Amino acid sequence: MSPIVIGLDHFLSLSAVLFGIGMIGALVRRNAITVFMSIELMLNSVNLAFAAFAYYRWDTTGQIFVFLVMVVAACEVAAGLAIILALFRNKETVNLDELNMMRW
Amino acid sequence: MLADWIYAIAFFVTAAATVTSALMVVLHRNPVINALYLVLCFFGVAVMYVLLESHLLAALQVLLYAGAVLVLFLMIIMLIRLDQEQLMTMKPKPGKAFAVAAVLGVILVLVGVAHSLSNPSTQRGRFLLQREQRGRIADFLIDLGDRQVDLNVVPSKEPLSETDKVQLARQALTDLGRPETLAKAQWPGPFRSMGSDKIQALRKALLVQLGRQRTLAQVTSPAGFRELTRADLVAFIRTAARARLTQLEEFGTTASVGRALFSRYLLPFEAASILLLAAIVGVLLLARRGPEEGGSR
Repeated sequence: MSPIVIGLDHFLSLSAVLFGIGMIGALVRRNAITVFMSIELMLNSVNLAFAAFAYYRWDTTGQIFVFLVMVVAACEVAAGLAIILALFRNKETVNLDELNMMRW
Repeated sequence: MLADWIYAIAFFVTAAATVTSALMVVLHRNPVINALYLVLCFFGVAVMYVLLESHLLAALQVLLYAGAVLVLFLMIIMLIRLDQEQLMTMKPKPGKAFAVAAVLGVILVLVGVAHSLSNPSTQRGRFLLQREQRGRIADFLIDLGDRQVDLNVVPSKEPLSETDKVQLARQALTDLGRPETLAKAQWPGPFRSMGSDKIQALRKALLVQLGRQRTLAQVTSPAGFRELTRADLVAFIRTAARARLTQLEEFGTTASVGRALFSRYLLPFEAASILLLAAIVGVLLLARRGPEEGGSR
């Protein structure tokens, strides 16, 4: 029996599945913190796709992109969680349905 | 063969763990549990980076995501102290969004599966391919009279055919067109004094010849380079093959990523550092309590 050969397709499929799960989480959940975690999940799946392409094309550029995405993700987490903290101080909730003061 | 199996098993086990923990992140009600499963998921992605021979990324993934980001999440969860009934009121609302996401996800997965079924194993795992490639290039180097082949590379047992040699030479010369590989080339004798434009011209002329010739022995000095002997041409191809071997060996190491980061991608790198600085200042301003709330100016 010949072994299953893991190729670019496998990594891209895994990346697509993770992105789908993250998107479902970001759209469905109402807890702002969990929505944030789902966004992190989506960023990670994109990073995985970048690394897979870098590997199969033998090109370091993809890894540089992953590095930059990681930096941006770190900034985003810090800023986003600070916003959530500020919101919680003012409204005593992190339920996204109750945070509707900008609705007209 | 055995390595293929181990690689496949490692991939599928890690993929299953990663997807399961990602599902738990999305499905579980308690944010602390979500955060812990998120870390498991991050570790799974780190293992994937190792499988992709991107060791620097794997280390960064563990340090940055599993370390810093997780601590941030847990700290915020602790700071805002949600009680049980508050958590219970935040029921997920599937609705239209869920339908859209689910359909999109299913389509993506189906496309991926259909694609991998339609052309099975055309792209062999690079992890193993690379090992074999290195062995073949080492063979080729020995064949060309190189006595200093790296001992990390195990030459394969099978002798190289003439078509293999031509193919390896073409690959090496093609790869030499990339600036990263070119930088690895340590030119011997007559080429050391040549300018990069002359080297490029010779590379292209040799590639054209190799496209037409059946064996390496038929390659002659191209027009404009009549003074080069056969030994010089062999030395040129050998240098190209050696540079390619070095390039393959270096993929994913901190040195190669760092070199790209500080040369070609210096501007994005500096922009990222400015972004980090802006984020630090912004977060400090956002998270600080005002003086009316008992904070200090």
